Amino acid sequence: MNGDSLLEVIDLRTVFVSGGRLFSAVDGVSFAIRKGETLALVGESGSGKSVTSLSIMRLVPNPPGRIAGGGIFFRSRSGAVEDLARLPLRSMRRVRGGEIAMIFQEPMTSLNPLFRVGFQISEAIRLHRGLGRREALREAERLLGLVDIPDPGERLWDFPHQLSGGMRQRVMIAMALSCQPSLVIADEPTTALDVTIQAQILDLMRSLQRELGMSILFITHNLGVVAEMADRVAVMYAGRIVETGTTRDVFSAPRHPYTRGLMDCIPGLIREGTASRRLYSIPGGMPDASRLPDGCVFAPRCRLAEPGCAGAEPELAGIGGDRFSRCRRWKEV
Amino acid sequence: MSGTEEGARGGWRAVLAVVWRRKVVTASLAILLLMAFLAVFADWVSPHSPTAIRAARRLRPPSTVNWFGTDEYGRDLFTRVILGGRTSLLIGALTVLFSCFFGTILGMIGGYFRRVDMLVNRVIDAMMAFPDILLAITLISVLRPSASSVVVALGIVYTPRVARVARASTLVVRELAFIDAARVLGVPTWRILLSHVLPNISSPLIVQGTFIYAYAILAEAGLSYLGAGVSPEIPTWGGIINAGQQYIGRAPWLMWFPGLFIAVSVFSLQLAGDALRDVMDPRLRREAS
Repeated sequence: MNGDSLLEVIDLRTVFVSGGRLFSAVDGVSFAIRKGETLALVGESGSGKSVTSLSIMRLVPNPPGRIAGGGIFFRSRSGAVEDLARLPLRSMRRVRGGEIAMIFQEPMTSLNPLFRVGFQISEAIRLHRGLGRREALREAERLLGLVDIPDPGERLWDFPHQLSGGMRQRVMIAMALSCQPSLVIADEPTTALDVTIQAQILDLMRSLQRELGMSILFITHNLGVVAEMADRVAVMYAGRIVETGTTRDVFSAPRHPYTRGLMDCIPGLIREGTASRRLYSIPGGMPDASRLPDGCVFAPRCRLAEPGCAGAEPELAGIGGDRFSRCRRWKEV
Repeated sequence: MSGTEEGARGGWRAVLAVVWRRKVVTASLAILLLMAFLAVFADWVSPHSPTAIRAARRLRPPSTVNWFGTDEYGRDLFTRVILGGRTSLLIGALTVLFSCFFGTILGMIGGYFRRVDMLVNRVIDAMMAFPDILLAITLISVLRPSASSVVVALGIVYTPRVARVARASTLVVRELAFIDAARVLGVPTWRILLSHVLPNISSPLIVQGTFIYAYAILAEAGLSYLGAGVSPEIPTWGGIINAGQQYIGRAPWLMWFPGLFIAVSVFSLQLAGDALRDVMDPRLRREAS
């Protein structure tokens, strides 16, 4: 494992059994996150980005799913490197919340409706940091202040339904940060919020990252959010990474037709010179994971596809610098 | 889960409001409370002894002295009926506790751990395939007849009914995001079940428990009537009916009064259960209020 890496996922394969057949939701995914860095995992629904994050947390529902291969190497606080894919569940519980935290998409249902907010935040604190009830509550109050919730002392005694969606997501972030994790996985954390609140939450996450120095794995389908948040991007399609690079490079010159297609779908990101006035949409849909096309999995929807693309599947090949693309014709994108 | 959310928000005040608004429910709860009071303070309420035999006063019809009349040994029927309530209500309550305890555990395990769900489900189905009373009689004869075996037998009979409700509710709750959120925080599974799943499935369980209370009173009366229940010296509603049926022509009140107590208590419990369900299920709440 690289010296400055916090997490290295290597050749991860997560499979599901459905209707008696086995298919890979994540197939040979590799990426690394450095300390203090934000990596965005981008893709459509069904591209395998959420399954990747669930695999890191070892939360893939089993049955029907399981991690079938590869390694998830994580540098824990003690400095030791552990393979999360093979860690016993007991040790995994220490990692969850304590070293890797997660924020979910639905702030409306991510809190238990029956318990006061303060209780739910302090549950994690007491679990991992062994504080008493009173100290844990005080710590919860501090955390609510940290995520810019006004009157944190009052809000501790609120039930989740008394808070707005944005407030609940702030509470979720406070819970995620309660044990000073070194990695936060944010799975579409702003998708369920309206745009102004989205911007506030993203600002909050950025400033917290500056303050606390954690790394973020940001999972989203929203390229606008990626541009705002991420240092580097990995674009996923049909369980594979098709392109990676720094956010600046990928956005200024995508090197995979799928990435290019995603960008052309967004009105604000059509650069000058692109003639088309109508908004582009990538034809077709994500292929069924149990019936993937031969060769390049994106070929059937690709503007640049040629007969050669249906041969062997292209590797995720280095194309200079920190950039990789899984396209034979990347130079022409 | 908005259902539990509503329940939590309204809390007991909402329950009480509905109880008050529906006079039938108020009445049935009052009746249940009265029965419980009579059962608990039987010795104090009634001037007669339940076991004093007076041959001279046998099979007397209801009068101001013996409110419900007397039985074939001249014992005061009112005293025996309210004492029978003590047995019946207590056995019913213990049966509810027994079946809710084991049924909840079984159902939560089946609903939460998918691997054992199949097994749990088959066990539940198999147990529900037996007719209630038949299974209870078999269990009691295996256990030796006594009050505690009646509780155990009826508890076992009604456990699958609780388990089914607990399993179904757990299946819903386990998919909610806050369960994942708790797992992501490293909360141990037993704690997730206890502090996150259980409180969220408690409303349907409470409702089911109320109905089981009614079934258990009915089943206990049936068992005592058939002579398979508690020992005949202890007065129970079913036992009194059984003893009285030989005198159905001469002293029909021997069956009327215990029968009335069974019917009224079961009916009141059913009404209370319906009301609870209405309060705890927001889809029905509008009708309730």
